[in-house]
Amino acid sequence: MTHASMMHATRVMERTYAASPAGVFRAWADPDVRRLWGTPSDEVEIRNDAADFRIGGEDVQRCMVGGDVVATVVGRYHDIVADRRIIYTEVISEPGTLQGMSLVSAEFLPAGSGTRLVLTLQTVAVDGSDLLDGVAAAWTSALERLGGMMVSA
Amino acid sequence: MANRSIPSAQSLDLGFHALADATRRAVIARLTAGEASVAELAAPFDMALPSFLQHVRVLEAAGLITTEKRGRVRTCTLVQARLAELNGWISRHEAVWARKLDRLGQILDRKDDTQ
Repeated sequence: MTHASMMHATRVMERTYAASPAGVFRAWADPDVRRLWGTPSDEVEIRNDAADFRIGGEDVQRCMVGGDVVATVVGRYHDIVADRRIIYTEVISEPGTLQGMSLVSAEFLPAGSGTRLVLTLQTVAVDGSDLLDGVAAAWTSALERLGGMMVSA
Repeated sequence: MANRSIPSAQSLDLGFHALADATRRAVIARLTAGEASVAELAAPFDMALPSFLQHVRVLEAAGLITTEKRGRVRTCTLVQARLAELNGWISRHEAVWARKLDRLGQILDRKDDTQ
């Protein structure tokens, strides 16, 4: 049986904000503001080990549950044009194992007095974590049960 | 395979459409036992081969199975559940970003109020 070892997806998200492009850009550039909205989830505790908003700079977030690091997100800024665009990569791993990464391109477009934000998320998810194997086994048996139910129905 | 850039909502739609048909569900159920040729899969059904191949194509487009031609035989394989899990990981990652952008909007609005 051949296993596909990665999956790719591209997702474009758009939001319109009342704030000006300069205001939205500042909310990305200021590490204190970025921390407020950039937390992956309310349930996990985040430790910010680095926040370096400049080309080549690195953002490091550790996601903690019960004092243990469950995932690390390493962002690196590749292109920053003030008030216009930010391009960066985000690499997500659980301890010792790569889970996936995204190329994140954010465009800040004027829309009246506000901003249309166009975020393009190009993601690759990779296979190889033990956690995934467990979940995959659960999926296989669920799919088999579904298949069985459908045939007997 | 060509460059895969399927938004997950679209792939979900394809998946549900693919599973909304009894013939296609039976094919999936059969493939859980292991790979099979199109002829083997078609045998239980009172259906012309071109019609059956349409079902195979729908399952393949939905990413539920892969097919491979070996000599004159086309073999179908159920895509491993880990692919569904990778797809799930991407969906969760995209959902995290959607929530972040919504929270960014709330924070920007709050700043406007105080200025």
